[in-house]
Amino acid sequence: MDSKKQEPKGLYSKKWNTAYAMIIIANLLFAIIFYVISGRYGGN
Amino acid sequence: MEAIDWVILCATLAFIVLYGVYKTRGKQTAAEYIKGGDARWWTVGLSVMATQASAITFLSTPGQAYTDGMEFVQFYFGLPIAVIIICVTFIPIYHKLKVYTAYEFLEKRFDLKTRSLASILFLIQRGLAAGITIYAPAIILSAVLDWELKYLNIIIGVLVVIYTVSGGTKAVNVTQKQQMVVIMGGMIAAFVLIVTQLPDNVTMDNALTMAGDADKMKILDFKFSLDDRYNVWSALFGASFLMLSYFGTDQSQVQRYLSGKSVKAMRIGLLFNGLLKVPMQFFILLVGVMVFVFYQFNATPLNFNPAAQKAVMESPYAADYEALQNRHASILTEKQGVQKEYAASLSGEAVLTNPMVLSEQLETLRAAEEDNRQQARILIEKADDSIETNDKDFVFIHFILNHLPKGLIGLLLAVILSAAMSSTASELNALSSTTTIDIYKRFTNKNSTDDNDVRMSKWFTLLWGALAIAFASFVSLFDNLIQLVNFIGSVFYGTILGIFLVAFYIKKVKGQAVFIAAVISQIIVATCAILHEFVDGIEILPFLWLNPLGAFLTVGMAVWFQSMFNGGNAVLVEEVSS
Repeated sequence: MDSKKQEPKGLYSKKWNTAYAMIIIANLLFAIIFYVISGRYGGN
Repeated sequence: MEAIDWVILCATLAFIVLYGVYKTRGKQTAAEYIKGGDARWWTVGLSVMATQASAITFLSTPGQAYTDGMEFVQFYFGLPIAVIIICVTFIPIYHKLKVYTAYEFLEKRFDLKTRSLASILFLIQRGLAAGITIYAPAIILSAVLDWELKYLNIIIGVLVVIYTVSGGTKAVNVTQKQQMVVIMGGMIAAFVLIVTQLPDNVTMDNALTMAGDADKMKILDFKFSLDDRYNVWSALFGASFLMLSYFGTDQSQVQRYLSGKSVKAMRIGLLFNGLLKVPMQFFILLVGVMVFVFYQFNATPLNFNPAAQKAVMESPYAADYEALQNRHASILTEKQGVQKEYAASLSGEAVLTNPMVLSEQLETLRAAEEDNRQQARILIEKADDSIETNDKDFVFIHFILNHLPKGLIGLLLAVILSAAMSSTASELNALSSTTTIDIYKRFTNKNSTDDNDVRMSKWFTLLWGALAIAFASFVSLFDNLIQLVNFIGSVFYGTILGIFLVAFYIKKVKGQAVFIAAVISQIIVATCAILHEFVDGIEILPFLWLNPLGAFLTVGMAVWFQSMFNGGNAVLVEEVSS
């Protein structure tokens, strides 16, 4: 559609998708770290 | 407080206020004053972070970890999901339509009454929250420092009003950068000092083991339960909806990223929060856990709220309370002895008693301590039922005032007041913008000039500031202050989010259907919330689940009503965004 053509360049680009994926992966890593900490200290 | 603390506190606050006024001096257009519009990504990111991190975050959260452990961090797992959805869908449309407020979009997509409904719901809930944002630190600081509550409310409110009125959105943004530096610097200094004040044989590993023994280190809870406020599932579903609504539709946050100079600045600013918010909350909770470990080796009062202690000691229950205090002191002495032996055993030193036995003894002593504290709470309530007996919000400030060195006390008080000012400034700024753009300019003066918009926006900031101070003078403590803010948000956010979800994703639904659906949904959600929270014996849904309930009800009913209606006056989303 025309609307897509008027959008700033790269609004839905692969670079942005990679950035979103990195945020999800970073937070999954935090969750894994929390899981390990819970296992190490939380189950005493 | 010593003179050096006063100097640091006053100098920090004065610098922030004067810096905000100085950086935004001179005449501004309405676009500059209301929207900002030239902020870089780090300004957007820090501004979004400072808006969410209120004084309540730094007073309540460590206290929450002290009493309930680290589970609260799960609440923030919904945030990264929400900011990504906003980056993909919301920001491009807001940017393309060049809106000043999120609610302007709703008129373009639906109609005037839907825009007005959403903006009025926002004004109600954010107006109440602004009062709490001022009141929360004021009540705690007044109790522990013996400062007059009403003057504290006024001082916090007036400081914020000065630079928010003077410089608008840009002043809010620039001061929030300074405030975040003060806040994070202060919290890191506090953490380092707590750890260095632990006994020599208590390493970080030993400290966490001790906290784990007391059930403070369970971070993730995978058990699904509607009764449990914080578990992975309530975070991923309930909190995601709350965060989506907060960051995507609450003008106090939308205004922060709309001030970005480009879509890229807005998106990176939000993603910055998606990356750092969870570890930041983890760190603040960890400060609370370290305070807990510190107090295993140091004396604590029977109740951390000095106003509660004072009330009961001036009542006929003073003798009973003194008996509990004596029992508390003897439990603490015994507990500290066992704790020292346990710490020695954890660090590999030879001890007379088996570590497992020591751990069991500690558990018994902690249970006795808690039982004693509970009895103290009952006495306090009998002495004065208007005083808050739940003292978790007072734990961290008690530690600051009694165990931090001179100078740092002033810095930590500056942290708390800076946080109060940063979120209040965003709230007043957003309330003023919404009142100017969605109410005044839309209904009263459609042909208002640029200068008049700025002038009215300043007056509305002043008005909302006065209302927030007035509300702060009447509100009373809830179970926990941070939960009160989230509770008020949850009552309104679901419906507002539902309207926006329909607007963005369900193109066939039009204004009439979504408006009726939103009104019915809001009535149902508010009824559920009131019955659940305030009527004994009735349990419907914990507040976090009100967010998805409101959103689903609005979306579901809007689709259903639309299927029954014919025609309408809506514009499809493609038409709006082209």
